[in-house]
Amino acid sequence: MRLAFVLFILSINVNAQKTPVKIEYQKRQKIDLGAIMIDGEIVTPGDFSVEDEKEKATNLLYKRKNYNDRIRINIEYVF
Amino acid sequence: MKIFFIIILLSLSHTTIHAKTYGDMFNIVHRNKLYYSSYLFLKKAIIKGNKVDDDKVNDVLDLIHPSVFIHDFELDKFVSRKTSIDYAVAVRRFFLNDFRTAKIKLSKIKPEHSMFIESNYFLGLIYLTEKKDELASKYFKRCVRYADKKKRTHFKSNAYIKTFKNRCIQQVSRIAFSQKDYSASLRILDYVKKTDYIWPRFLLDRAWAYYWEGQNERALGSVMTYKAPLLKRFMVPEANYLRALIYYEMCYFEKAEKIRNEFEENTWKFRGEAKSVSTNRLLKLISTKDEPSNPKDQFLYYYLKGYKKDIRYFSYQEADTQIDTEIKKLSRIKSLKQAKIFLNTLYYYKKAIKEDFKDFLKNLSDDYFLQINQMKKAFVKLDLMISLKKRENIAKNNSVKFKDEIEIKDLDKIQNIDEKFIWDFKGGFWADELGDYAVALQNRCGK
Repeated sequence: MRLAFVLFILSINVNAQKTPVKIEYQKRQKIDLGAIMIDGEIVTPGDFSVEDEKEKATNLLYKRKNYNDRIRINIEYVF
Repeated sequence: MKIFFIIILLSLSHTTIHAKTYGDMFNIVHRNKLYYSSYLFLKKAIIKGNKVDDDKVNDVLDLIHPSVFIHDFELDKFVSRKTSIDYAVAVRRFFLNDFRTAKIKLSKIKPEHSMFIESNYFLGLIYLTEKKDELASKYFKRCVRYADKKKRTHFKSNAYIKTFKNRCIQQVSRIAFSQKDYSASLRILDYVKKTDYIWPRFLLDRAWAYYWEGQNERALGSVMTYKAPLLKRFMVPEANYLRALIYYEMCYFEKAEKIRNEFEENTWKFRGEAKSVSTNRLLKLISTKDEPSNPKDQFLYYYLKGYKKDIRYFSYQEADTQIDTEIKKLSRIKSLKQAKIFLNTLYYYKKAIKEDFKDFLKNLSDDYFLQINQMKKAFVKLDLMISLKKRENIAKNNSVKFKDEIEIKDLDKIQNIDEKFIWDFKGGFWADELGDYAVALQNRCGK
């Protein structure tokens, strides 16, 4: 049994050697951290307040801004 | 085939017939007021290149229910040709989502055509889907202008013409609204007369425009009008939500919560009915005159009641009656084998119109279900905000503030009211119930 297992492992190695794997490493890349532009506002921890959170929460409330959701129904129900 | 048509015509007409072409046959059948039947001859006359009278063609297009055009495969033969039935072809293309062809055909329809206002409405809708608001607005405005010029025919009632006009007004107003021109949106809505049955449907549009204008009193007054017994049927979930939102923003939290609870009890509880109702049950409910006793049926009945005077309902009824009359006349000669084929076409039209109307009802109830779900989500967020306010007040040891003590606003501070009637609302409305209401409520926030 043990012998069979050893032979099996050896056969795998033999098969593996048939197809050589070519490994390509990525070329060294230089990143200029100083030149990176970041979009967005620069904020400090003090900018986050309870009031902002409240405003954000209020903005989550549903308020109709257009009737785009009714166009499909207008088209389907002409007659 | 032509021989059998002549036999039919001979049996229908009491006059002497000299029908040589399909065009002649069309004229005879049209004279006998068999409009759906004449449509069959009309198509054949056009294919054969026979001359047909434009006025008579306009009559047929004006009277025939659009579902016939939508389901008429034969119209596909006329897609690349310019014919007098371009409107019918355009309607079919429109409902097949072939907006390009529909646009080409509709834009060639002239002002003297019987379907000019409808064509402009379609064009407006197409441009809306293409997000070309300016062009859409141009066509909707043209629809409004020509609706005033369109005379009532023996086919189209004033109510029908007004409905199209008002739909176009609503679209123009909605375009202004989406461009944040709320005062223009309101000004345009003023063109809809209060005597028009569709007027209550526009109250919600008015309310949102007032809301964004910062006129909460008038916004609230607009949606409050739905509380009038005659207008209850138009109270959609969004109107209820807007009431609650305004009360919340004016710091009347108890009132906002009460509306939320009413929504749960009167609408949310029955949402399953809107989803699972069959088309036959919907047809039965819209046709019934008496209020059903079952609360589930009542829920759907009142929603559908808002569509009882809708053109889609009465055009369905009128088409059904007209086809029945034609079938009855043609049945006299049903012994002829070929006549049966002719009759079958009429039965097909009848079925197509009925099925389309049933689909319309089902789509209405599906849309109602979606609206309820959407408003439920909106109410959940609103409820969360009310809870936050509650917590805030408790933290400040100011829980008394949560009690809604009504504070009346000075009427002079409410904008745009020329004539004011101070009236203590105790569940009643003015005799005609339709009016521009404003709720004289003082904002309690910050006190």
